[in-house]
Amino acid sequence: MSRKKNSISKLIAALGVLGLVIGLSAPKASAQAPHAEATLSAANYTGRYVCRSASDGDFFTAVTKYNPNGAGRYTAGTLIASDDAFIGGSASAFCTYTLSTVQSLFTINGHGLGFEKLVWIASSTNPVSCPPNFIDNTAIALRNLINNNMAVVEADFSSGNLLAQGKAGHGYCLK
Amino acid sequence: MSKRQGLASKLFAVLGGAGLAIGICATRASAQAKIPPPWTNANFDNRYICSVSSDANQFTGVMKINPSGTGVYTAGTLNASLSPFATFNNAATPPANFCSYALNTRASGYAVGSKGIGTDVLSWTFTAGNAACPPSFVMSDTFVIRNNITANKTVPRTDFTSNNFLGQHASTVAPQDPGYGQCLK
Repeated sequence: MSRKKNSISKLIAALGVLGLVIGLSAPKASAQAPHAEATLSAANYTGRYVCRSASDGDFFTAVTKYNPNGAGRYTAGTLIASDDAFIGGSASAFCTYTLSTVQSLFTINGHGLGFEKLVWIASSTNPVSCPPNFIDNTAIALRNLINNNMAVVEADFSSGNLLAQGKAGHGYCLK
Repeated sequence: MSKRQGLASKLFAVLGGAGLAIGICATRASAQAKIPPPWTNANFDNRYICSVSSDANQFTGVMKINPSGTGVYTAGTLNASLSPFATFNNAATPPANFCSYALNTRASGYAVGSKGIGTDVLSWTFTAGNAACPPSFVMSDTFVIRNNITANKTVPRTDFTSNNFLGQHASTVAPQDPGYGQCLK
């Protein structure tokens, strides 16, 4: 009987220690969240991102998948835009472009702000209504949230020449 | 021996119960501390990046602002697309196709109400870009802050409606200039 009681007491004590650990560590864990502005650089913009873009009052729209390399260049990129925005565009077609990784580049300063030069090469199979090759520039701002690989999880941008239309645009990129 | 074991058992049980009670209470207390209202200026603090546009998205920009948590800003930068004001230049370096501004921290400020609705005045000083860029301007915003906060008691996102982004309210091209956007941690 005494042995049984002792075992139960030990079990309760073990649970108590566990409770203490959970209770005391919970506030500490949340206190570790970043507070101060992080020092960011091009190295924080790396890996694969998907982006949504629009310009000219959101009349021209596109989605992008691209891969900044963390050093001011890109390893790949694809942009697909609605063909419905262009004269002669169809109700079902899209315009596809591949990023020129040789000519495209980006910069990020210590405050997490930067610029991009994106050179897009039109697919030879695009409908004739699609714009030809074009260069777009963006002003980009990185969020303060980074993943375990030190890459930011989101960036917002303002653009100047989406789909060669020469109109202000905007959008965001997500991990 | 049996008596000593009994005492030890009781001691374990008391310590265990106390440990559980403290653990549970501490967890609950930390959870409760994270939930305003009332909201204050302190909940809008540190670094945010913002996407802003106006006049049906004809004007666009990205901002980085640093609210102090006390109603003023310690820094801020705005880069806005030049395209509404001058022809996009394919040959230019990317910054040349944008208008850049620095926040005049002395002339800017914000106030967060107890219900999490705030107002701000952002005074932007032109710093670099094409001669066609709008000059320095003052914009005003009303913003709402999200209901979830970080462990530092700061909100991760605000959404705002704005007046006079890029100073276009009085322009001849766009005599009205309503805008909107969001700011993210």
